[in-house]
Amino acid sequence: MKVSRWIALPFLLPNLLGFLAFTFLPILASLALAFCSWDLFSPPQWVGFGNLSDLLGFTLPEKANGWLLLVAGISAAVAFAPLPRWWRLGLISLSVMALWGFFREIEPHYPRFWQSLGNTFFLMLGLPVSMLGSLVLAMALNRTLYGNRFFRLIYFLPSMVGGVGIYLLWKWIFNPDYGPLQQLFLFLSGHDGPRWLESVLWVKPALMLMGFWGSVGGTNMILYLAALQNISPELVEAARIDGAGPWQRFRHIVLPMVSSTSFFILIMGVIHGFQGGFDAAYVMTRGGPAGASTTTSYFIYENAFGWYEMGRASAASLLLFALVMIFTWLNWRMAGEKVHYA
Amino acid sequence: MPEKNRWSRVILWLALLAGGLVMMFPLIWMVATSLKSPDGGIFPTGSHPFADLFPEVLHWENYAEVFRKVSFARYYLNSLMVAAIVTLGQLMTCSLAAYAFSRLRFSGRDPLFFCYLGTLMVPGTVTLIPTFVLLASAGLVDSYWALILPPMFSAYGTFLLRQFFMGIPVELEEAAMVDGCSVFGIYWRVILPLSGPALATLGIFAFLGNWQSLLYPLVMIHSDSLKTLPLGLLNFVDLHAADWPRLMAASLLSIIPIILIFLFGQRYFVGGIRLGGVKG
Amino acid sequence: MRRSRLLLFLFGALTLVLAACQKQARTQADGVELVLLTPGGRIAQALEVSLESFRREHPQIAVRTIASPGRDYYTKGLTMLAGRAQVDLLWLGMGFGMFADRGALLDLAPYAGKERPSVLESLTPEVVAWYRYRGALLGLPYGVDIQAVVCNDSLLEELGLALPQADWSVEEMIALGRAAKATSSPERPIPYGIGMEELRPALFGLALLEEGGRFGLASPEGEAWLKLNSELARERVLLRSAGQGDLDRLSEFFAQRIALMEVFTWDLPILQQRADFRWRLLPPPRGPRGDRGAWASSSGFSITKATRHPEAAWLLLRHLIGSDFQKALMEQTVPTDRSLHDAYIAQGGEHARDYAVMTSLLPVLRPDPRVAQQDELLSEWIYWRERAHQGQRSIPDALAQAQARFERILQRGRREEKP
Repeated sequence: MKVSRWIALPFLLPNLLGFLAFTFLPILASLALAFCSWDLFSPPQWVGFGNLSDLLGFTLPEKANGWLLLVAGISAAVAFAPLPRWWRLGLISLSVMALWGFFREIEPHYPRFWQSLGNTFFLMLGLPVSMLGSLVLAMALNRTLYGNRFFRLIYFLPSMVGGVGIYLLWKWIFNPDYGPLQQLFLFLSGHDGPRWLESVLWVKPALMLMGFWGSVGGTNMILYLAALQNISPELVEAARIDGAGPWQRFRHIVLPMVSSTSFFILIMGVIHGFQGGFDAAYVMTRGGPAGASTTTSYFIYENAFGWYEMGRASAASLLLFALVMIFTWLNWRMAGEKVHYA
Repeated sequence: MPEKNRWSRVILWLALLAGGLVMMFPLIWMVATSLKSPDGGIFPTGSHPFADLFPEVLHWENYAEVFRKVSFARYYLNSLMVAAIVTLGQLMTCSLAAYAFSRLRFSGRDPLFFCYLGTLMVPGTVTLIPTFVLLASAGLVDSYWALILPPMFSAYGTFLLRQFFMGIPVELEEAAMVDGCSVFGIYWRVILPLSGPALATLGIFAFLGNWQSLLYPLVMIHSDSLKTLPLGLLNFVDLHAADWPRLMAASLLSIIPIILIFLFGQRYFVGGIRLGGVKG
Repeated sequence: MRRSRLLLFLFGALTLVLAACQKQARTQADGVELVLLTPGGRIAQALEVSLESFRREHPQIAVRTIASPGRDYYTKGLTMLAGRAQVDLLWLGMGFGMFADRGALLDLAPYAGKERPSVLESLTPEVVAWYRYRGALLGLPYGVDIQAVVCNDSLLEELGLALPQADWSVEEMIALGRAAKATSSPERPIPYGIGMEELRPALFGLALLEEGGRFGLASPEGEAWLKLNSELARERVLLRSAGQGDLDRLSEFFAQRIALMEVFTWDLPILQQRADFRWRLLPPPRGPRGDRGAWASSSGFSITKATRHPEAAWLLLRHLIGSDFQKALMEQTVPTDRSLHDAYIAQGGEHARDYAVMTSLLPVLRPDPRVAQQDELLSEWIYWRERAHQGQRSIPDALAQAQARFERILQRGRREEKP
């Protein structure tokens, strides 16, 4: 319904006022701090791009390949031309690969920051799996089964018990010498499994596994459950009578009907994913070994509340913000078209 | 077909049960640990992990000790009150704003909405100190206001409800307008009654988010009498050691309201109320 | 409408509850009120007793304690001070440098100088020196935290290994750790030979101790040291990565899976309570150059610069580093008052000999240097050390990178100092 601003304002106002005061203002302040050096006590000192260059600065070694940069630039430029979708996708990935090839040669001044970005992206690979898991679980728990209310509670509870205690338990589960997981490995395969939290290779999968346990039955499942209520049984029944198999019913009825929820979960999942991995790193690994579990959010926390480098923490958040913005915009553009509103 | 259907149900049920056991194992371990003696070890040391999960003597007194050692009841009340008020506040402010963002079309709507969305992308870690300084200059630090006011206006909640409101058919709105409903009337009589599950869902999320929050109250609250549960749990952690059994007992006690709310709220968000007025 | 009325009622009721629970305006006594920030736990318990006697002696001074237990204690302290909340005294341990460097603490020298005889004379002078920062005395310690090695004699005998002697060297410790690790079997797993992250005295501490900001990191000596540590980590003679051991650090020692373990003064009561085997405390082994340095830290109290009642705060501080409070916390930390050392050893009972090991180390303490960026430097060091352990960087490369980061961090600190 088209209305003037003055009619919309009263609806917005209660939220908007609080939003401006308690969310927007602090965010503006922290954005300003990204260009300052601040130790919490003496007034912030303007350092311009000092923090950003501290994070992003690098030296180019002689062996860096300028051709790769050229290829990346050209393919990125060509991608803007009106081309078929697949061509464009190919060009963009070529550009990304060339950039990757170029940047892997350089020596960053602060490798831990770059590593934290890489870790964050890696951990986000778990998001689609977790989303699918939540959807499947919600579909199973949406059926009239004996005790399904009880099951819903059981699957939901892990997302509610956070805190030090539960991480301590996971440390024991992942213990490479006598933890239950290792014993299971030994029993099944006859030799030792990976050394989980001690291994730079396995610490991230281990944390993903733990994240899956904590999130599969959590808020996402609840959102899907609520969305599944939207599908009328008659519709499904009609499709069944028309001869649609389970897969077709899932593909053509369930997926479109939960698309608006999936869209929300995806957007929020990406936003949270970029800010995620903090709790586990904080309690279980302290970001180690060798920084392999330091996500950007943990990096920011360490800078802000471990070393009180408020300026650097804010600068890192600013960069993170820019990244999330780009990805959310892409999501919005690409997935938003497919969202089906009733 | 019915025959096949029954078997698929049994299989599904068994699969859910097996998965449920895996999901429950850490909780069972927490219960077991909460019953151990505070002087002993907390990790099973036997030949296989489940050999001595539960201690020989069950120390139920750990639960009583939780209330004796710290003012646990006070933390409980604080948490309940703060979470309840924040939840109600979020439901009110967010549903109003979400209504404007989803059903009203006015100039500047989309840029404003993206501003909302954008704030979700800034990690709370860096805004914590500015928020603290802001509240300190307003003299609100170390009071209930500091715990209640800022979380009451959630961009997340606005986004969530907006997504739900988008799914409500326009025809209903139009019909209400023909009947002479005001803009607020549509919100109050059409949109809200249809959004039971959405509101219940946001309510649960808001409550849970507030219930678990640690760093925010840690910075905002100094007095013991204003502490919430997650802060209270820290009392069982000393500088170099932790009182694990009692910490577990306290954590278990602190999730009871969550269980109750989930059991109670389930009726609403997965119950008979349907999102969207017309079907199909 | 029923629903709207219900909503309104609920909201009204909650507002009422909120108003009722709103903290009553603090009655500002006409006297002085001091606010004392502590990390809670045992310290808070000891404080309760100690404050009672303080109130009896100084009825005109009211003391309010704020306890903030958990790992974010220093965050709490810094944010409170940054937000101009009232904090007059605060407990400070390893985080002392952060507060001192920010100019948050009051110089105590004038107050201590006025007293005859000075309180400083009874306290261990080496430890008091740790609280001097750029010529000012910014705090006073009540206890010293010292690192030693605990040895499970029962386990070593069961494994058929010789028991180490108090006068051991690093080589002997490494050999013993390797031998213990070699006996590991599925029936009796020995996850680590020695429960230490890194051989002490840590390279980190050594490197930073050099005066004038020069480090010995990228030197042949440093390389040999890191190489040895990396090998031991790879063989799992030493703990592999930081963060594995935390609040549950000793659980593997109590489960008799680790024979040698680094312990601190605060672990002694737990050892006495929980170890159901024969154990013994050993001083840290002699280093490669024959030196025997024990890592140490201290616990004490400081007065904030922002306090409005420095005189009263000084009285309270004096009380808290007095012998009553030191005695109350003696279980966890070695008292700084030298006259209490006999009592400290005696509390060990049948393990008095082990408590004596701690006091015997007092002359050779080697604290981590108290620089402002200590935590960041340490974290940077652990990072590069682990990259070397994991084989992701060669040892000279890791050391060079660490050195470069160290210099950057310290330069940053100096840049902030200038204005």
